[in-house]
Amino acid sequence: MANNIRLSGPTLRLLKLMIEKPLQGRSGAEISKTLNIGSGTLYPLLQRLENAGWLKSEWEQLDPSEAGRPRRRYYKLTGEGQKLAVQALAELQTAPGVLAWQ
Amino acid sequence: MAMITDLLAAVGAAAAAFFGHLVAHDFTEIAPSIARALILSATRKLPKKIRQRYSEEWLADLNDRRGVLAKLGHSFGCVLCARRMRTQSIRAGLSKKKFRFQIGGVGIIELDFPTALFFVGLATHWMKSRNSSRPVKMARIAYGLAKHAFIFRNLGPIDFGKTARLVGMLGRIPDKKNPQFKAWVDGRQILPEKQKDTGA
Repeated sequence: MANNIRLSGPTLRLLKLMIEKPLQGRSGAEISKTLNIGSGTLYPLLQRLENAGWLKSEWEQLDPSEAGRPRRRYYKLTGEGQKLAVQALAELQTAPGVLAWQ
Repeated sequence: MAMITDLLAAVGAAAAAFFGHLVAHDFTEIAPSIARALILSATRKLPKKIRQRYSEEWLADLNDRRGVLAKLGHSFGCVLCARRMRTQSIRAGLSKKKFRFQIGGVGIIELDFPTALFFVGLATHWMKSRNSSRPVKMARIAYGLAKHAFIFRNLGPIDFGKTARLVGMLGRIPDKKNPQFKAWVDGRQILPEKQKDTGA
């Protein structure tokens, strides 16, 4: 199940972003803004990775009435997700100076 | 004459600018409400178990977007992806679900959904080839399974209303061997007109 993920362009960009700081949770809005990916693409992608066990999500520890805003949902890579993401990105990494389509 | 035309054009432009400003102002005021309503309507397409979660998450993300266009863009994105997320959610649930079958001499076996459906189809075909009345019962089981869990890989979830109508249409084809079984719609046996009359 965990390996059964289609590694599209947005998926790779998302994995790359998540692997930069694996312990830091990121909300959908933050990811969308950073990667410039629309909500229509982002949320199904997050859901797919979460179902496959690459990502986990949790609610922000916050009282919405005190903060005056709704709590966010933060996404993080799981341990297995980190390994698989590193592996997936390494496979696609080309040696310096070599054209990717050669 | 030219002066009057210029004057009218200037007045027209001023009026258009004034009303345009009013419309834009009103639109800016109501845009967050529109975005919110769009998100709530999008979450209604999701399965119940994840509806509350995504409703809260998308509204929180809407709150983090700055500007009318960003808010509307986010909400339209949610509307567009809701159906796909529903499909993914059902598919994920199915991949984890096991169906248990009791088979004489073998015991209880657990099968995943595609395998279970394949065996039900195979059994239906086998019984049909033996001219047994059981295919109807098997078809009912298969339809029951499908009703709760069936999903096509690329076509998204079946519209069960349409499926029921389709089963109803097929049921109108006379079955000489088993006239009592006309059709099964939503697990309910639809009897031929004659039997209905006798029953009443």
